[in-house]
Amino acid sequence: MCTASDFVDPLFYDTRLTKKGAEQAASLAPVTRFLDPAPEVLIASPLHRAMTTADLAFGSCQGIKKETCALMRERVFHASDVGRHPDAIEADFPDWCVKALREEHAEKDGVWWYAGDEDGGDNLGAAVSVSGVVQEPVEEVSLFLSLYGQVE
Amino acid sequence: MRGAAVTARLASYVTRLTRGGGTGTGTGVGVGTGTARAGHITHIDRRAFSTTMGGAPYVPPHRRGSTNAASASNASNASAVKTDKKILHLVRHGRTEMNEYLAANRWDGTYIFISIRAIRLTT
Repeated sequence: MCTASDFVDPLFYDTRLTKKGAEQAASLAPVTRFLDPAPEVLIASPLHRAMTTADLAFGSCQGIKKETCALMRERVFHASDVGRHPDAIEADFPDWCVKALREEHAEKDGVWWYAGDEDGGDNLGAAVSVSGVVQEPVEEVSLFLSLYGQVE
Repeated sequence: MRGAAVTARLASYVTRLTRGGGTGTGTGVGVGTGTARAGHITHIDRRAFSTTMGGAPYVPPHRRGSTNAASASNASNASAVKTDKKILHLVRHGRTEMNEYLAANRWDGTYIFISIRAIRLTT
């Protein structure tokens, strides 16, 4: 994995969908409407772009449970991958359940995103080890999904 | 123009799903929407959007038979098969401000359009 050496992070914290991105997500609604069997639950990372996409793409699925899960988040490359406190997420997405997110990260005052390494260093804006951010949580993701059915 | 093509592909997918089943025979489904750059192109079930499968309708994985899964005949047969599998659909988030910035500034990543993929889960 490499990045251009002169790349500058624009600091789009928790970046939002563009108009085009919202249209892309909404264009899935006619597809999800016909999913059979109908969806039971939506699981999205607590990042704004993911939850907004899920809302738009599955807008026609009424009464569906909506859960956020930090394990679904993207790798941490830039400020755009830095999330927000569960309270702020809940305010913007009141029909999404952030209970687990809040409880699981209570010790870190609700900080569920990467916020610097263990020894106090701050690598925001720099690529972080994929093995640390992506590979290790895979097992946890499997456990999370097992709530809804075991991965085959 | 590109948007129209995408819409056409999605419309095609909807048609295929409807033809492939819609009988409500499944017993459950788990739907996940992840942002994981799970959108690696190799992970995407391109058949979901393909319009060049020799005319065969798209058949969701849980409705595919054990052989010749993409065949039209199996599509109708499989639709009547009750399944206890759960299905995980992965959806890539739509284009973001950051995606557009990355597209305009040198970066090794390539934005991958939102896609959907179904994965079998057991109950």
